[in-house]
Amino acid sequence: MIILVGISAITFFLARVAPSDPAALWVGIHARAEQIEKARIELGLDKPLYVQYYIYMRDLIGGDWGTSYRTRRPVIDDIRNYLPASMELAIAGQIIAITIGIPLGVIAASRKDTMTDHASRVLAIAALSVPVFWIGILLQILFARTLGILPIEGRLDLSVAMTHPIQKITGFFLIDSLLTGNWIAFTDALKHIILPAIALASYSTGLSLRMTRSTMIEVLREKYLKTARAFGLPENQVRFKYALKNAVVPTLMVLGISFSWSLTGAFLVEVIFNWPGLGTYVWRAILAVDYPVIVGIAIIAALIVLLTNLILDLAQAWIDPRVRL
Amino acid sequence: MSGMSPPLLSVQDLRVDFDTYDGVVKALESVTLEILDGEVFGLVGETGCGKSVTALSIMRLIPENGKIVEGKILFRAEDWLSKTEEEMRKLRGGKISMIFQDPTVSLNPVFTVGQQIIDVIMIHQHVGKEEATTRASEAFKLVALADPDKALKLYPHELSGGMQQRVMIAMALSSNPDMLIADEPTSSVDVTIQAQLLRRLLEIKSARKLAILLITHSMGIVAETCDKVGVMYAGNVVELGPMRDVLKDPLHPYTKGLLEAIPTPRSRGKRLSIVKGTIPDLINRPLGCAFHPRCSYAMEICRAERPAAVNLGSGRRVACHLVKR
Amino acid sequence: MSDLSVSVEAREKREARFREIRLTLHILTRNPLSVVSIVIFAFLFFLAAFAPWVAPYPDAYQGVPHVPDRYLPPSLGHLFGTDYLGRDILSLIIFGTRLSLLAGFTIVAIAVGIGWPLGVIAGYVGGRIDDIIMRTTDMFLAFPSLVLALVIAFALGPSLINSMIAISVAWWPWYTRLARADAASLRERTFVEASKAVGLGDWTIMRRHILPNTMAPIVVQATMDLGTAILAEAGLSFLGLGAQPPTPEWGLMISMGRSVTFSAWWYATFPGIFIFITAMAFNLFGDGLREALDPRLRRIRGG
Repeated sequence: MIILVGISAITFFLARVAPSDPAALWVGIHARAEQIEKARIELGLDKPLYVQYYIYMRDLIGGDWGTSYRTRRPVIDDIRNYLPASMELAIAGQIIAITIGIPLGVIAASRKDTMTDHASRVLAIAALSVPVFWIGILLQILFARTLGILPIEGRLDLSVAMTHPIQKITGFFLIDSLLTGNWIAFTDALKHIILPAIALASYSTGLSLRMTRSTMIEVLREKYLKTARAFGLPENQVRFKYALKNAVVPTLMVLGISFSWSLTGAFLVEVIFNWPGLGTYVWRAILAVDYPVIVGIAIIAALIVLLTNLILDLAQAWIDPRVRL
Repeated sequence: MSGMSPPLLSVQDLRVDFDTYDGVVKALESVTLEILDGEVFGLVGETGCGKSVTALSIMRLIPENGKIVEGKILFRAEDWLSKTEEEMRKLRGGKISMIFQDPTVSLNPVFTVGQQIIDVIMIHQHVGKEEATTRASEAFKLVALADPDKALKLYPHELSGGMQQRVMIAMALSSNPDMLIADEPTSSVDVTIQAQLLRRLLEIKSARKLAILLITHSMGIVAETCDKVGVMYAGNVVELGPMRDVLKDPLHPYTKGLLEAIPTPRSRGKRLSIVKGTIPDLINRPLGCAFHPRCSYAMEICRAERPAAVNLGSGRRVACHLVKR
Repeated sequence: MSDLSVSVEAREKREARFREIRLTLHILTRNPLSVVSIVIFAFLFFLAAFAPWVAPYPDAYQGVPHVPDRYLPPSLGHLFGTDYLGRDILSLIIFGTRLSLLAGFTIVAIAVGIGWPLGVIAGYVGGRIDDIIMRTTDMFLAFPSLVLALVIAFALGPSLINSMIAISVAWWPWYTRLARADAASLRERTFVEASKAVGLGDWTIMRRHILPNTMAPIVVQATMDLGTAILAEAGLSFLGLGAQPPTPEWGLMISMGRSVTFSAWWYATFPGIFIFITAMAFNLFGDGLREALDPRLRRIRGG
């Protein structure tokens, strides 16, 4: 709880330090001096900082997150609009990362010090070293431009959105189109999400691979596996039943960290692929010195991270009998 | 051996090397011993003398960087060194079982003890889960675990050290093996529990005609529980014989030292005697008898030549230049 | 504990540390990947140090435009093509090496410089100070670090130096957390008691004993973070919050190249390759170092 307050405070004050005048932006370029002044009073920017903060927090708790200076809509609504897009991308990226990273990590650990293991490690490090924004651009050049098989940016083709609009159930294009049998939209949405998801997944894949590998190595070394073998349990059972369950818990921790990182990456990826999510939203907000949005997003980001960690903690407690809440 | 039935286990001239970063560690130089059916054999020596390695070699569980260079291991006259890994796996926990020193790390923390012993029973006795559960409960009863059915559902960390060790023993004996190897089974529990465990073990042994290879650094334990004793030093069996004979008349200087080091009520108020010095470098073994630097009876020949084991009749054997007959 | 025995213990510890370092170096050089990364380092440092002599068009750094040569594709004359000002991209990249290496080391240095001592203080002193420091750390850590750095960089105003500061400020909590854990456990050790008994003050104890003993995980983390630091800085520059044009910073070049991605693909591609190689070298080295230092991964002695 305190953490949230702290974060909001930091972001709040930080944003205001920025050398830009939101009042001017609010009113527009052609405004006259007194209009700007009037706007400033309206927006409450003339009051001392701590008063502004107090007003903000008061409204926040009441459910009013302020109105975006740029879009003129309540921040909450904007967030609600853009959140699903970001979530969909983030989750897609994570799924890719886990499907590649974890199995490879397990294999690398069981073949420690062989060629396979070394290759995996190099692969993991490579994935961790790739600049997210660069790989995004590269993918665009390769698949969109040169090969022309995938779209450059965006979430859905305009033409498809017009002719086969997706019914909004969850806000996730992929799920919604599937649920309503809207195949055309589904394939289109899929085509659009592949490249950004891959770009986003790169770092997380490296992370998952590396951490799964070291976790498995530790687990495989544990004495209770020696005991299991001493009692004649077959190797398969030893590895997959006995070892794996112990590895699950640290792996969940990996997921948590991986997810936080992908929030960062999501930001860059959205900007490059023009993905209509929170990343792009907050990017434009930063450029426009849109205070309420910046602070609002900061809080949301922190909330998401905290929530994810909480879920992971719960999962841990459920699997590992030694962990007590 | 003088008209008796063939020994259950016969180890002959076993030599084991380990490949390490610092060089090749010659852990076992030449180990020879025999254990008869239903006999309690104590293998005693200080840390690093190779007793655990001997046990692990019998079970074929030595770590990857170790190699059995030469020697024979015969179980019921069958050559075990030529068996495949799969054949050995079936024997482990079935015909021969091993329990280890620290039960807390030997049991898998994320499964109940019941699940673990049931797994072992199912593998070796080829029965279904229900039948296995019944047998598991019986095994727990055998080791005098209070409330066996309830114990099945507990996790290792919910049991005390003594109870955990009982679980291990139950697992080891569940499929009625011919021999049990116990590697320092009581070193991690306190003295009272230690006495209880050993007593229980001996009771079981008598009831089932179970041979036990008891590995320990405590001469005191061996003196109280074993029929036969083998004293190991730096990878060799330096003295071997029936417990009473060796106790009464120890021939090897090391054996003498070990016996003298046992504190008795008589030693109260006096300085405890010790065997001075430390074990030799196992990578660059010195010439001659490995014990000679610490031996108060060392002669010229001890420095130059390694003493061969000499059979003295009625089951006694010594490897020392002092004894030549 | 007499003065003599304290100093004997200190000397023994120093000697033990030297042995450790030599052993670590030995294991490190046995790993081919680490060797490769060290070679790459050497190469990069060479480029950075001798840029004006190595670069084919040294005046590219000055930003002298050769307008007629704008956006030339890669050729023998310009291995990596030219940019919007007609400058040779290869030369720009070579000069950019300086910036990236500088950025990486500075960021980590500042973050460690702030975080490590704070962590030691928190762990050693404990109590309310510990609480305050750790709460602050938690606050920072709950945030995706790049976003935080972004906001800070924005608040400070876009420039290379500011982005470096921003990232350092976003990162120091990691080191604090790392150092605190070690410091807290070290506090219980007897040599601390002994030092107190000899009359050493808290600050001296922290400086001379606790600090050096918490070094190992910090060093490992710092080495691994060097690569990430370079990536982060490039990221901020890409977004426009770091180096400003016409600085030959790699991330910035990618951003400039993005607007002409489809006509002048080389502009965005080559700087990225260099970022990748540099980050990879640092990460490989860090990984190798981590394996070399891990006591359990060293070969087991038999017995």
